[in-house]
Amino acid sequence: MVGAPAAIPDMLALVVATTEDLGLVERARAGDDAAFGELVSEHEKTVLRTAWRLVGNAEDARDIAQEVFLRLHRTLGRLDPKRGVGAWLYRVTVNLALTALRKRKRHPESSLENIVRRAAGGIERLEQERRTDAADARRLLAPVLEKLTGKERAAVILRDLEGLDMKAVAHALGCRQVTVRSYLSRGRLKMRNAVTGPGGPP
Amino acid sequence: MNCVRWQRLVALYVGDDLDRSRTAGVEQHLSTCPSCRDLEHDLRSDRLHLQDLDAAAAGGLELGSVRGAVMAKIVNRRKRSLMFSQPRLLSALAMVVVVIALALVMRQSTGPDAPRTVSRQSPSPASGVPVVPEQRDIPLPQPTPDFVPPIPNSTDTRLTRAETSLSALSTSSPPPAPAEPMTIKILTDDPEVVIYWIVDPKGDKEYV
Repeated sequence: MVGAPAAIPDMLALVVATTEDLGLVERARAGDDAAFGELVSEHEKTVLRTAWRLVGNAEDARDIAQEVFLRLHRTLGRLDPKRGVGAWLYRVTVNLALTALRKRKRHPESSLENIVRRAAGGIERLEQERRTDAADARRLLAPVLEKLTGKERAAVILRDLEGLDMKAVAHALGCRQVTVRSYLSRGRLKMRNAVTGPGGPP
Repeated sequence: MNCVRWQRLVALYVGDDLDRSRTAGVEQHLSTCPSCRDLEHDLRSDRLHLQDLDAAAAGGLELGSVRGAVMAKIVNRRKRSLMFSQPRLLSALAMVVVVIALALVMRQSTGPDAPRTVSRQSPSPASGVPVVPEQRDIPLPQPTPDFVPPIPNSTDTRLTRAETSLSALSTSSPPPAPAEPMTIKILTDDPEVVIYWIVDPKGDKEYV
């Protein structure tokens, strides 16, 4: 789906991925752990990346990704094969990420927690990242995305970065396409204001 | 339509998120509105810039793999569920059976339906009010030492709840002595002569 070349239309990529997944899902349903492991390997990068884009934190993204795949394992028997594993994964990832964002908003991290996190992650690694272009890009990207609400951010990320079509985005967000259009429009205009506004990055 | 409303549509237009009719309307507006045209240009460049930034940010990020952790958790969960479903379930069932059996035994010995060991004696004809047949020489009945007078009615409204429970507790003990004196009516040959024998059970007093 996401790993497909950009030339392939979104829905076609989605269908191709679904067809490939069907065999793995059937085997995993029968108790084949190796098949489920392959399924995880196939989708983990997409789930991790989407979660990271939404929450902006690698550790939280990993926690979310683990929970997504554990839920997938629990719901294998009830999974609708017509919709495909990818669409289901996007939906659960977005839901868990939005929940994490809401929790974070209610309980912002204390400075002590930040210190502990830095110690756990390794200050050396942080210093190394700070010198890279990737870290610069993240520093530019984060404040822009933070201006958006959770659903606006999810709509922009899924549509503009993940390349999903409107129908898939609507399914992932659990809303109608007209609502997704509203999120997209507001999100893109907010990002524009964040870039040009006084609080925006240079 | 003012430019604010057009801006919302332009924000969707840059991502090909409008249907054909609206797309045509936006294109027509853009051809006549320079500010909206500037906005369209900025939004397109923002979108490209966002994708570049995201690619650069994700490129240097080590998110690692979650496959190992997920599979380990699944195996652990399965082990836990097996442990619970096999021996623990059996031991739990055995415990339930034992508890039910104990409860049944306890109920049989102390339950409300259990037969009471009440030695309440109903008055025998000999100890009740004897009706002496018409005979000339009537031996007066002698009260027997083991005479048990009738127990007062347990539904006596004068008894309080506490008294009732006390009487229930003391049912296994010998019945208490009657509070009222016992009267024995003795008939004689002469219908006009009737002997009433009043016995005070508390004492030895007798009145004839």
